[in-house]
Amino acid sequence: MYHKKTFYKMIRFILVSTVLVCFTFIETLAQYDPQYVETKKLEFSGETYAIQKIMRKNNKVKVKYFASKNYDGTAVYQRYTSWAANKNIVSVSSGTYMTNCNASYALPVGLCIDNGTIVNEQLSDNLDGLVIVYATGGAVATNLKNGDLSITYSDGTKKIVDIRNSAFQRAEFIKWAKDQEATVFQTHLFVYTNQMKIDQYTSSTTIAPRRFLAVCKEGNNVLHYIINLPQATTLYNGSVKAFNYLKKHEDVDEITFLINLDTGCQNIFQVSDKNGNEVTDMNFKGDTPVSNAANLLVYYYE
Amino acid sequence: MTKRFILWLPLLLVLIFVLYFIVNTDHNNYLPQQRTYPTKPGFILKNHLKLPDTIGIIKTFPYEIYLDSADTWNISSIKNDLKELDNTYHDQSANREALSEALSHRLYKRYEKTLETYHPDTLIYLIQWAERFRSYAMIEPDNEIFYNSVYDDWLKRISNLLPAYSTGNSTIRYSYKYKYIFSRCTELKFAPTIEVTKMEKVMDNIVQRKWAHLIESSWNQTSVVFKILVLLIFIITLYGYYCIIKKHFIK
Repeated sequence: MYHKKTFYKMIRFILVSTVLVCFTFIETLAQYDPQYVETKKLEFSGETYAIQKIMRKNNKVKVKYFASKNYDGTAVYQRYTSWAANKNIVSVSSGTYMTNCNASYALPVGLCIDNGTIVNEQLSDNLDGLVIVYATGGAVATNLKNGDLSITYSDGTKKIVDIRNSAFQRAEFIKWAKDQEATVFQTHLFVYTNQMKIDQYTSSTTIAPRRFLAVCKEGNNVLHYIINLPQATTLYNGSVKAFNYLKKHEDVDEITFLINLDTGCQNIFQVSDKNGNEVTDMNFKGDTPVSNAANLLVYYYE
Repeated sequence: MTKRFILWLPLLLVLIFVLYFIVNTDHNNYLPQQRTYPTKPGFILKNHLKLPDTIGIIKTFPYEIYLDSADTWNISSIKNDLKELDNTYHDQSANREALSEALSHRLYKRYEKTLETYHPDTLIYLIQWAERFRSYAMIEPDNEIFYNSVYDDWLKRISNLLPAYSTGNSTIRYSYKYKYIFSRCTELKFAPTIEVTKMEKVMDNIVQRKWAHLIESSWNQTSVVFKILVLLIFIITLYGYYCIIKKHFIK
């Protein structure tokens, strides 16, 4: 009788311990640590703002860009699913514009280099934002109008190049990108170092849902914001809304850059919660499935 | 007879409209052959270089004299010019940048007036000339950046010109030479971005079966009058189906 009681006690103890261990284990298997990613939906003046705020501290949340299908024809979606198999995805969005709406043969608009492979060598005169995504998971942007793009070679030497006005310096930059296996793409630049770079008189008046990527500084911290505006608006009005939101509500010290993410030919947007489940709120979704992606901007937690 | 004519009139108008574009499109598929230019001997770059060079070769290079007299179709001549520059000034990178500036931006200035209007043969000749530099870059790695800079700049300029031409005259987009130049640029990874009309976007979305995007864009980008018109057409069409079903299937 005594031995039976002890036996049942032991079984109970083992079961409770196992449940506790599993629970802890499952918690450590969460998609990401919520101290680095904040997803929120806000309403201001009748407008919905779907925001994902990403803290780049400790390089826990990184960026990856799939610029185009592979040279062997492997589609972006296949590349993404193979790569993402063992990754904790935070969010996925379309990147830059495409030359047409058929993902099977469309090319990205503007200069585009994917891990050192040229996808499109055509430097667009209409897109002032040049974004470089590093293999380490960071992203920087430059205003091509300024002509002060800084590149650092493997031996540590730095050079400033004006790739818009000098053919030779453009060729130097492309060679650098190939050697460094950098990923580069062009897009519209709406804000650069706290300055609006778009005006309402010369920008497009087409209204559509808008999505922006903003990289900001708050003290020593670098913050990335994906700002999704599901209600149709012009590029100018959308940029102003994003700018005001970052300055007034997030109170960032500096908007280093604010660039456009495509919501036209491929309106892809998918956000994961901390447990890895897709957020089903329609304000965090695009109307194009990821499987139709011609390019993808991915945030992942490591 | 009049009633029948009125019924057929819209179809006739559409046919005339389509025929107009077919007839006005340039179907000429003759492509200019690669030119061979006689060599231009006698130009010695060294005689036109300023010494000492205190400002920098990029500013002091004799661009106009060079373009007037140098043999820009002859790779041996260009290589010789590079050698003369290196013997005179020791900043090799600046020497190459100066010669690149001559063969790209400065040379383009000479074609700028011509290229303001669509001249497909000129564009094709320029592609043929610029492509040679791509080959030179592959076989001469030491000057890869220099050769690629010339090739890259010309292909970029030509590719950027194509959308402007088609905006001014949309029928040229269907001409053989335009499509050829477009295809060559795309093949060489200098994809031009051609503005598509709203109708073409609609057709594209229908072919791609992007119904959600089509409906959303149509809703956002059309006027109230257009929306009312579409609703009326929809109601009339539904009424038509109702009448047919009522007459033929409901006793």
